[in-house]
Amino acid sequence: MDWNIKGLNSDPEDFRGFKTLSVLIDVDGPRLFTAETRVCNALFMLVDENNESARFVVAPTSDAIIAQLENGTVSVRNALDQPVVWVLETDHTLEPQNAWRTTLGELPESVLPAQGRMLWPHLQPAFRLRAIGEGLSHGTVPASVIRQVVEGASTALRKAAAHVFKEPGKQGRASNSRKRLYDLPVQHFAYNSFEVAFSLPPEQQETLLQDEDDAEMQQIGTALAEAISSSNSAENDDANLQALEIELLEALEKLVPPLSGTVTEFEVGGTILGQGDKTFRLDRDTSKRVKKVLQTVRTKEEKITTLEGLVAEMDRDNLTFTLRQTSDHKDHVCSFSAEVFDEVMDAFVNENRVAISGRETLKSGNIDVSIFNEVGEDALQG
Amino acid sequence: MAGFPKHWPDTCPPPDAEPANGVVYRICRENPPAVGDFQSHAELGKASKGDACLRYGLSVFRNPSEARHLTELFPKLGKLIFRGELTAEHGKLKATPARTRPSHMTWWPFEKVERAAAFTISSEG
Repeated sequence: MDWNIKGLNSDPEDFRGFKTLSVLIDVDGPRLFTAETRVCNALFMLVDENNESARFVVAPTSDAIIAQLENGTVSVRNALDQPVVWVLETDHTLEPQNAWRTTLGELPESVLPAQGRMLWPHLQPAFRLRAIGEGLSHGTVPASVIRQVVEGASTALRKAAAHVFKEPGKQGRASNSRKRLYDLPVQHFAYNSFEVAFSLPPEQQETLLQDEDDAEMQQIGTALAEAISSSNSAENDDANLQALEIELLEALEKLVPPLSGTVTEFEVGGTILGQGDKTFRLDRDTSKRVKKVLQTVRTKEEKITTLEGLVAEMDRDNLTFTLRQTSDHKDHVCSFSAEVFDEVMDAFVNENRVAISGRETLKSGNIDVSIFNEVGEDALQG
Repeated sequence: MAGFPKHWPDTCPPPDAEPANGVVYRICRENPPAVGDFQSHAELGKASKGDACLRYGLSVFRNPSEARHLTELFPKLGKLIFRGELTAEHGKLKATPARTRPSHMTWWPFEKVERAAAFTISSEG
C-alpha cells in the first residue's frame, strides 16, 4: 500500500475479535459494515488491501448515524468523519496487526469515499444546487442566499417541466400531478458552501434508476443538462444559448449566480441530469451571457402586459389560473408564484375581478404574473 | 465437461444458483484486466466472516450505475467497469443482494473458463 498513515500509534488489541453486526456493502467480501469492538460500536470501511494485509477506516458510530446513512441524509464520507477515527491494519484472516488513531482529514483523498456519495445509488440526490462564495459556511449563510438557492432550484425545475410538458399552455387533469416534479422533498442541506439537495419519494427514486427512459423526471433533467451544456460551450459564443427555448433560458437564469453579492458561482448536479451524477459549474460570465440572450429573446417573444379580468379556473397544483372576461377580450393562462396563492384563491372563490401585470408570451398569450391585485369596488365604480 | 474445482465445498455453488446468462458488470483495476481482477476471495487467500461459498464466487452487477457508484465509494477497489455477456458455459450465477442492493450477483465460473475473455471495458453507468 502506497500511503503512510499520519496518526498516533494505537493498540490493535482493542479491535481483536471484533464482531460484525451488519454488512452494508459487500463486493468480493464485506467492505462496509458495522461491528462491535472493545472500545465502541464502529463503522468499518475497507479502504485498501494488498497480498499481505488490509486497511480499514474505523469510525465510532451509533444507530442514529446508521439510520441516517441508510435513508440518505448522511453521506458515507460524513458518517465516517467522526472526531476520532482509527486506521486498522489486519491480515487477511482479519487479525489486527497495527492501529493508528487519527482523523479523516489526515488520510489521503485517494483512499476515501468521494464527497457526497450516499450508501446506495438510489439515495443520491435527484437534484442539487450549491452556492459558492466567500464566507458561506455553517452559521454565516444569509437568508437571502438560502432563499436564492431553494427558489432557484425549484423554479428551474418548474421551468424545465413547463418546457418538457409544454405548460402552462394547457390545464386540467393531465397536468395536475406535475407539481410533484418540481416541488421535491429536501433531502439535506449542507454548508460546504451552501447546498440544498432534493430527493424523490423513495419509490420514485428507485424507479428513476431502474427505468430511466420512462421517468418524467429524467426528461426534465435531460432538458436541464442540455441547457446547462449550451451555456458551457467551449467556443464561448452564444449560438447554442440562442437556440434554446425561452423556458429553458429562464430555467438557466435561476441556476446562474447574480452579478453582485456573496454568491459567485453555482454548482448543479444530481442523478436526473444523467451523465453519471456529473456536476456543472456556472459562474458570473455564464450569468452575463444567459441574461444577454434571454433579454434578446424576451424582446422578440414577450411583452409586458397589464390586464383586468376574472379568475375563472385555477390549478392549485401547478400554480396557474385562467383569466377570463378580460380587458383585452382574450382568455389568458397565467402562472403565479406561491407567495400570492392566497390572494389568487380568494379572488377565484369570491369571483372578484383582479388586475394583473406580468410578462406575456406573444405566441401563446400566456402570462407570467408578477403583480396580482383584486380590483376594489371603488375602482370598479370609477 | 465443464465443472467446478473439486476442492470447493459440497454445496457450492448453492443449488439455487442458475446457469449464467445475460449482461453483467465487474469492477476492475486494470485494462486489460489483470489476473487479480478476476480472482475470488478464496483464490486471493482472503478470509471472510460471511458465507464460505461466496468466497469462491466473483461479485458482478446487473446495473452498471451500481458498479460505478462503488468505484466512487471505494477508489482502491478499481475505477474501471467491464461489461460481460455470460452464457451457461461460463458457470453459475445467483442474485446475492445486500439489503437494498438488488443488482448484486455472485458468479461462480467453471474451472477452465477464461474469465476476462467475456468482458470488455464499458463506459456505461
